[in-house]
Amino acid sequence: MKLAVELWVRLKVIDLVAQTARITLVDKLDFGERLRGLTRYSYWAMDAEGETAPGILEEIDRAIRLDGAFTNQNKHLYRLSGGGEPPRGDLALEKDYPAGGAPDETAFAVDCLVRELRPDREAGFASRLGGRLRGVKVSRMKCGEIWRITVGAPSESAAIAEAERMLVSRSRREGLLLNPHYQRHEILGTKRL
Amino acid sequence: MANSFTGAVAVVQFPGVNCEYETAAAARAVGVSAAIFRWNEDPAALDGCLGIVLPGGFSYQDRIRAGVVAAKDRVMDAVSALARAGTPVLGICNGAQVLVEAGLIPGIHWEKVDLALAPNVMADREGYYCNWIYLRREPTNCLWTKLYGDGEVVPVPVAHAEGRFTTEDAGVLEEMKRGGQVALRYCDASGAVVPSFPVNPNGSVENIAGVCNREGNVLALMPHPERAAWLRQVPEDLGDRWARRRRAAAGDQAALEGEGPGRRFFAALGGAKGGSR
Amino acid sequence: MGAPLTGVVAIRDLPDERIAETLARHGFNITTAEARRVAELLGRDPTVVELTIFNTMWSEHCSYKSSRRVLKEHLPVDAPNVVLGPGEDAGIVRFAPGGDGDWWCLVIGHESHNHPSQVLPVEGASTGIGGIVRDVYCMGADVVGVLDPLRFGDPSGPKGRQSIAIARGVVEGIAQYGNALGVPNLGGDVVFDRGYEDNCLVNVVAAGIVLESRIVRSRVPVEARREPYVMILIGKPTDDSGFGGAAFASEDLAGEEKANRGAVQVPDPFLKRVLAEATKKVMEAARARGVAIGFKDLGAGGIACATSEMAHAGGFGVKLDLDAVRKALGHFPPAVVSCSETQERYAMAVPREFAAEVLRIYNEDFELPRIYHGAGASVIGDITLEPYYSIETAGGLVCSAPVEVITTGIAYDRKGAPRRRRFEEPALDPRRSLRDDFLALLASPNVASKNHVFRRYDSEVQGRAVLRPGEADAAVIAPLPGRSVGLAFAVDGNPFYGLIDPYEGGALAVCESVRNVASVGAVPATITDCLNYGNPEVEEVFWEFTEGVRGIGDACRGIGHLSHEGAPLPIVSGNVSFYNQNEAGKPIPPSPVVCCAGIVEDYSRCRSIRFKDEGSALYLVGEILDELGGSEYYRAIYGALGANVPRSDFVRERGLVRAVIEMHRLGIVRACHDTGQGGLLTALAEMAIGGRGDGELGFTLDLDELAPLGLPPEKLLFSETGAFLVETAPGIEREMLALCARNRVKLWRLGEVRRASRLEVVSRGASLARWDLAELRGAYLDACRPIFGVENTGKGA
Repeated sequence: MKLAVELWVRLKVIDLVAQTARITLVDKLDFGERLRGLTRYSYWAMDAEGETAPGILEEIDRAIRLDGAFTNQNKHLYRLSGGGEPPRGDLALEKDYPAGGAPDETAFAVDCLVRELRPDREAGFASRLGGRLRGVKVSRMKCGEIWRITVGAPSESAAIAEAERMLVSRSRREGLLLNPHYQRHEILGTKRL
Repeated sequence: MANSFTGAVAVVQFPGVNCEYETAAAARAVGVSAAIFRWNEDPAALDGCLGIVLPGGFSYQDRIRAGVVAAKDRVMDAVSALARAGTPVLGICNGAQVLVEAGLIPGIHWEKVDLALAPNVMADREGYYCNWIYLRREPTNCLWTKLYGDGEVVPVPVAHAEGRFTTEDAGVLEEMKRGGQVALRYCDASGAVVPSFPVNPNGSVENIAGVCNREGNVLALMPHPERAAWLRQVPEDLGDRWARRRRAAAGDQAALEGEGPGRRFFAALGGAKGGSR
Repeated sequence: MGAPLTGVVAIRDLPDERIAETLARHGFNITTAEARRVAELLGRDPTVVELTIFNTMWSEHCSYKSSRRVLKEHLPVDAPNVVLGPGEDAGIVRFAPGGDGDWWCLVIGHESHNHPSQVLPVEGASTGIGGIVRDVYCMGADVVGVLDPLRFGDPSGPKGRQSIAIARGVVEGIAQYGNALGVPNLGGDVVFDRGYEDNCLVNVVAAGIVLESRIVRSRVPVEARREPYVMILIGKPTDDSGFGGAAFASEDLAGEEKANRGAVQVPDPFLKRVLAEATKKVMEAARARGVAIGFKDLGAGGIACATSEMAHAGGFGVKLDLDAVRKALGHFPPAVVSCSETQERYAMAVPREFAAEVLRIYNEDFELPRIYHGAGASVIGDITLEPYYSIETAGGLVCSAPVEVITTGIAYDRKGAPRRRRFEEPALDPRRSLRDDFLALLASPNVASKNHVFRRYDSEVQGRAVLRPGEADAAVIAPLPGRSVGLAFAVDGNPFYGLIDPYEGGALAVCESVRNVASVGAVPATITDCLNYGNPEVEEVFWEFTEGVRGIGDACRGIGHLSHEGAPLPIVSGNVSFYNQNEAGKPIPPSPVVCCAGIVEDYSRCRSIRFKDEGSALYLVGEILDELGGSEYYRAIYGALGANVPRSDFVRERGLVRAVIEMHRLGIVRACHDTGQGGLLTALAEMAIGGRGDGELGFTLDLDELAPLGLPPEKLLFSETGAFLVETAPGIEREMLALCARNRVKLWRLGEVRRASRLEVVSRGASLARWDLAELRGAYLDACRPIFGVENTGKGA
């Protein structure tokens, strides 16, 4: 069977990259009032082919835990999911939303996936991962970095627009998190807080 | 504490850069004075400087993306304004990444990000690569390469993981070429621009190694001329005239302390005046 | 004193079993008897913090409890050029006049980070580099280079995939750290063998330069008798990430490696670079105000070990306020804060008057707290005249004892017993093809080019490079701008010699590294060593260790100091790493690893190994004996170790290096290469191929020239007796003969370098084998590509 598998990975310790991004967005690019939270994940999505859904997840999980594929157990938390199976790993994504914020304003968490414009690179990862898995074939690998940007905004579409302004470096004074000349983004989802 | 950089080259030290001292030394080797400007000092001190060099290294640890955090720093307001007024600005390696992320290069649209220095693409791997390569000086009005002849081959080292010039805007590339902004290309020892690795060490589009602005006073350069400013630094085993000169100088320390292939990037400042060209 | 002690652990009145339970519960590695000794020293039951301190200080890694006696007996540590021998963070020798009676000094440290790298290769190796450069920085020096001798499992052995993953991870870790820090890589060596598949070796060397008058010592300065001094803690916020690391480094890696992951530290070269820049400014300010300071890096045992040792070395006491320590998020008990191995931290003793300026430079000028969350400099205690060490928290006193009690050492008298093994020479098979065998030998990962590794390291930063890794037998830098003086570095250690004879393993490591440095014309100035062995409690292992140390010591005295007649070549820094073994307790091959640093009068005479000119004369300086035991030829072609290991001959060695250095001084050397691993033919091929792989000159070796040596072709071509190949201008044979006669070494003129892109071996007028340079190049350059060529994963940051 073929299973769409997703893996989210986050640092256990303070993420200095996210912290610097936040300081830069607030102090240098004037997003101070709207930016409520910024969390960064590594992300992989793929089609995995094997006998059963639990078996596929089990094998990828083994590669993660024992083979050191994708994560470094000393530094990372992860969440591996696919189909309707209970997710594996120690990362509780739903607890990652920032707490608090002004009660009178609506806020949205926008999950933005940033990928390099190089599909051959993702295919390379897939074949290398495939080499480490027993009885599971991997295809259609998609990987990159996810920025969960939480912003105060009146509507979901306004929140997405604001997140995209933070994402895309258009000029010295506009945008930060990706360079559109070698990276692309897509919105994976939003959540109203 | 406050330094003045009047008539001197300012080498900007962002946290994490690591080539500031040898870069200042290479500037001094051509007889101009040079000093280190710590990123959070008062940028007014840069007024009247002879030139600004953003040296190599890992500013802000390459957090988010190489060069982008420094590109948003306060000192870049001053660098941008001075560049616009004609002050010579050279970004080497990480400094080139800062200039591209700050939109000062290619500078076709003011401070707009029109290029990227993307992760290297090599024959069989990715990541960091350090080696000597050859540059070919292209027809250009770039101030920093004015002392090299058209087509001249210059050996210098590269050392980076993100040096692949690329753009999603074909018009920008055309305009760069038309405007003489492609100042330097990777080539082999004979000057042939071979698109494959290792002649092109990072997969850069059209072998581009250095891009200047239209006015020619700002250059983003991935290789390190300060590591090739003395003849001593040239490897004996390279295959061009500089290596022959290097071998012939064996046993002659004075000759080896003489000019190396990268020195004329800095010597170009000798004729430049502070604040304008 | 004053406040009550908190966290006292009952030891004295308990039976041994109960003490053992207590120690196990706290995760301590010290023995029951050692815990009783702690209580005896203190005259009361210890606190948890105190036990934690002793647990670290009395680990093999910190205390040298098994090795100290042997090291003291055999290793020469003093010579006229030595400023500081082993004992502080790094050793120091003078290398060039610095004006006004001052001297430029070389600061050098050598460490291992083996066990952590086996478990977490990237972080383990990074932390190894981070730790050793901190040792050099804290003497007040600028770090000018790092080297890394590495030993991994056989890439084509049964655990090949794991060995390759570890090798890649380690190289990546070294690259990440050194490149970001801005310290050039000056090379190293890589050896693959099954003996390392469960226990890799990651040794690291760092070198720095400093004016003798500006050396900063790791102690509270004597000026603290006249005015009040405080202790400042600088750097990363303290956390628990490295807790227990020192004890970890001396344990064997039995069982599930991952279980120990919490002990590995997270290094940060970016923060280190900013700290180094800020510290430079602090030192400038201190000099400008005529202020004496003490400075020490925090390593194993963290705050407690560093501050107590600084106090002890200066004859002072310290009173620390643990609540003033900058901490990472989370709750950490006093024992963790006191002894955590959080990376990128230093302790500095400064006059109270000067403290505000120090804090301003770190915290405001360089904005440490802003660029790295929680980092910064803080005053964490006072220096006291009474030599008493105490640590206070709001909850009470957690450590309180005379400084000399805290820093009390421990030593064991271990016994050694010779390992009895029979070794045999393989029977040579005359039907074998020399042509094919040599291509196979060149493609052996131990012989083949390591350019795939070197290209991942920045070897150019700082602009001091003269000869880079792979270009010659030693890397050379010009450390002082505009001056002719050069520094040369090489590392060595062949485990296969040590397997046959552990004494020769040690002695030949010194000989080979000395030869490498002489090969570029440098005069050896100092040796550092890292002694990697199995479990010292096993008598045969301890014997191997003792023999290796004896060999190193004999070689240093036997070759001697070439610039100071009668003095030994001094060993100014070193490290011992025990418990390198697999789950079943099988030790790694005896692995003493040596670094030799040499001084070049005039770097302009240092040449690469590549053939330079058509028509040059090529000489063999030295001789070739029937010494293929442990050779790469026997191992790669016959799958045998052999028995006739090269025998160290220090008189011959001394003559050889003197002769070669003299040739360089005369300016007659066009290229020079020592014949090490792979023997004469490998060395010839390497000179033809060149370090960058694009040599165009060839050579025809006529074995008749070497007929007086009385050896069959295979032995002439592949013996690993140490000698040199030297390319010179033609027509100076008479001078060469006279020079070699003066130094009592043999000289053989082998022939002329030719403009022909091939290598050929002839004997009695017949060709034995011939190779195009292109095929040699292919074998030599591509063999390690599959090991290091491809990036491993897309792992997250």
